[in-house]
Amino acid sequence: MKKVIAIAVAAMVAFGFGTSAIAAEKNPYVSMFGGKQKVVYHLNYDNPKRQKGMLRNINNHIKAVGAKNLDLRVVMHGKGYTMLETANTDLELQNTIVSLKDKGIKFQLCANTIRGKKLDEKNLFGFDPANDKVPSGVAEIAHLQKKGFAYIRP
Amino acid sequence: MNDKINVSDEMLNAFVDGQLVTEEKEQLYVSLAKDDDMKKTVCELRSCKDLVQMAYQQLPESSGGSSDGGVPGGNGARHWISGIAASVLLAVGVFVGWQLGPMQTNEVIHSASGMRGATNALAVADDDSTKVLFHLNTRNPEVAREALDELEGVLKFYKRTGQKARIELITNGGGIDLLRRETSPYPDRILALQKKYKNLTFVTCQNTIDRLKSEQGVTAHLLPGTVVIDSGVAQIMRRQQEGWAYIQV
Repeated sequence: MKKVIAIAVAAMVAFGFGTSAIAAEKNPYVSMFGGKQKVVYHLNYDNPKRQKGMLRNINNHIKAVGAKNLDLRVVMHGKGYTMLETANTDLELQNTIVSLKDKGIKFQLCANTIRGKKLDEKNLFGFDPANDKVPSGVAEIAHLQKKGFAYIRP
Repeated sequence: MNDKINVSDEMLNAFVDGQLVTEEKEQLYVSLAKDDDMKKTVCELRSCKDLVQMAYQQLPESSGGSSDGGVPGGNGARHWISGIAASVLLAVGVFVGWQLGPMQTNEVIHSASGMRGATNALAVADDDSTKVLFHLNTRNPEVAREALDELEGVLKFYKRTGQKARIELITNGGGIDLLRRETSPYPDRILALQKKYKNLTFVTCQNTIDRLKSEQGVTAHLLPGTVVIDSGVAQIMRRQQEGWAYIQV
């Protein structure tokens, strides 16, 4: 009797592993052991074309990995904030940012930049000072990498 | 008078094996600091010793622990002694790297083991400190200024918040121009930053220096304090493997 149970358990385990292996094959970016992929995108340039290119990269990133499997943050400092200024008058850019936020992407801006460049926070599209501000953009990126976030600067 | 002291190979070997008494060691450090060839020999001996140790290393057993019940007494004692030897070797290695490192500014460090010495010299930092590597590969003065702004900003931030940190700026390609005496747009600022922040290092790449020479016939003269490493790209990989955060400017 014990033997039968052992075989049944073994079969169940094997089947379980088998199916999870198949599931993992479907999406190579999802860990078998759970947990999200952690990524930080670094934005410190003001070229609008390049900024939009970055948002496109992020969109494709989400498509490949799946929003629920992803903890993706955009950290802006230096000239990166200009993207939020441009978005005030650029409807397409607005839509892109909003749809990314809906998928759980966080856009964070450096407090040093806000202070240094004397930015008006109300003039930054969708910026929520309570949640979207980090004390130092560079230190935040360093901190995230220490926590296992991959660094991407398209 | 010749400054160089004649040091025999036996002496160097004993030094690497950690068998010298304190006075002998002190004397050797002094001669090492003056003699580049000797430095190289010690590096080679050390890497040789490391390789031998690695080849003969027993399977997972901590250097201090001979608690394995199955091992006969004599064997255990031998493990213990080799453990001490290894620790002494490590301590000597770190100390030599630490002692020699700062003197080797503007001087390339050869060979794999030498590179480890260089890494030590640049990263004496405690493990709990935050380490950030900035990467500059363009000669655009505006981007270079942003790089300096950013690293100064983060140095200030860590100082203000009382966090231990080490910052390194690695330059390759056009980025080297920032650290060349003949081209740097901000030499005074770089010197002032170095003076103010002891945890900041400016680094450039030997490959880039060589390429300037071979492609443009230009000899690079670097600002004082600039450290030269073999390859910028390799350094970036090493640093990330060592737990440094990477930020491209």
